Amino acid sequence: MIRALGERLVWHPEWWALALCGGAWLALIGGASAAQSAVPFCGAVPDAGWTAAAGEATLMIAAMMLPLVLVPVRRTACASLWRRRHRAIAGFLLGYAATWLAALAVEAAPFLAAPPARWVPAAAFAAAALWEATPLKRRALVLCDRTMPLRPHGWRADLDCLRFGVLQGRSCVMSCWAVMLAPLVVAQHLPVMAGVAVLCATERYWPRRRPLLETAALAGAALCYLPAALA
Amino acid sequence: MAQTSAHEMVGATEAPVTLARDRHKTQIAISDPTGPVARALTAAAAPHRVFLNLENITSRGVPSTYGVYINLPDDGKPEDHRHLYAGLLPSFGVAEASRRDEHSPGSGLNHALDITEIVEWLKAHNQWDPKRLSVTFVPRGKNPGEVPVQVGRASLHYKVGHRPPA
Repeated sequence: MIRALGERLVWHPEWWALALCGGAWLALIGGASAAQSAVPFCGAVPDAGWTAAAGEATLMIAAMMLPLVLVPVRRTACASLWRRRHRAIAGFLLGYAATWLAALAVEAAPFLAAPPARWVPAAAFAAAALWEATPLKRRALVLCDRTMPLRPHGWRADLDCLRFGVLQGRSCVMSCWAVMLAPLVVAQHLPVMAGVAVLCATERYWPRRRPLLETAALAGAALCYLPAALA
Repeated sequence: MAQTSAHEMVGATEAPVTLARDRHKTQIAISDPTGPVARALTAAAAPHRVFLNLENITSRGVPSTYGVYINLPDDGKPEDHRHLYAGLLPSFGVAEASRRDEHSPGSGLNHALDITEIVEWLKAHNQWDPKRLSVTFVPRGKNPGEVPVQVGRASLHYKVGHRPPA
């Protein structure tokens, strides 16, 4: 049993990206149950501190975004020499997370000084629903399948893995920037994060020509926040 | 459950190659396998296959056809070394796969060539260098190189396991 599991892990070097994702969810749930904000960098940075905010943002990326890049993570490992494959994965994840961190910093910037106004959650979901229905979103989603040649040896191999992570991160940000705005501006961070993570995984692994389900779900969420916006 | 097959990348080119009118030779530095493939190779009579992967093949139009040869001598005529012929670089669909649109990310095509028999022939004739492999792309057809084609990377893979039925 243990030997079979070991063999399976050997052939799936991306396992630790998934483990990081699970750990991030546990940390976020633990943080929330301790009556703290799961994502404190929205309107609470001065209290929590920038380092804590960056840490929470990294947890958010690990929890929500790592399941989306298991295929390119595996590709990075398989396209590298055996002894380098975990190092290659680390380089990829570093580039990917750094790109998302930069994007989240830009998205959260307007809400750092003060909490978002009451109309912002509804507007964020409505913007995500609109973006979901555009052809630009479809193209951005296709770009998430982009690959690039990786050099095999030395620092050039490390650099290529990092660049591949940045490339994937850029495509992912282009595809998911709108829907990732919602968890930043709502009070119910964790349920919204979980819902958005499921939605992103659905459209990544089961892409359809017309994303009616995703658009309807986001529009429905916008409607749910409408009364609060109008109050 | 026993692992029935294993594969490992053991070497790749360091830079993309652009193919035009002339034939082009590129080198792959080969490392010894260090993972489960190494253990399987040391096992008695483990059948193994060798693949040359041609990755991220891109072009702005329909490119010419290129024959791919393994360890072709610099002054050797391809027709005199048919035993070193690995296959054709694909040209069909390259332009479409290189274009970024709502159907394709524009990364180009990937293609794998089974070069097991060539490697076995080279070993049998003491011409196999376990540290280095050369790949030569030879243009074919009437107007070769009119539309350049780029191969992002050529990589060598060992696969240990059962051969599929012929």
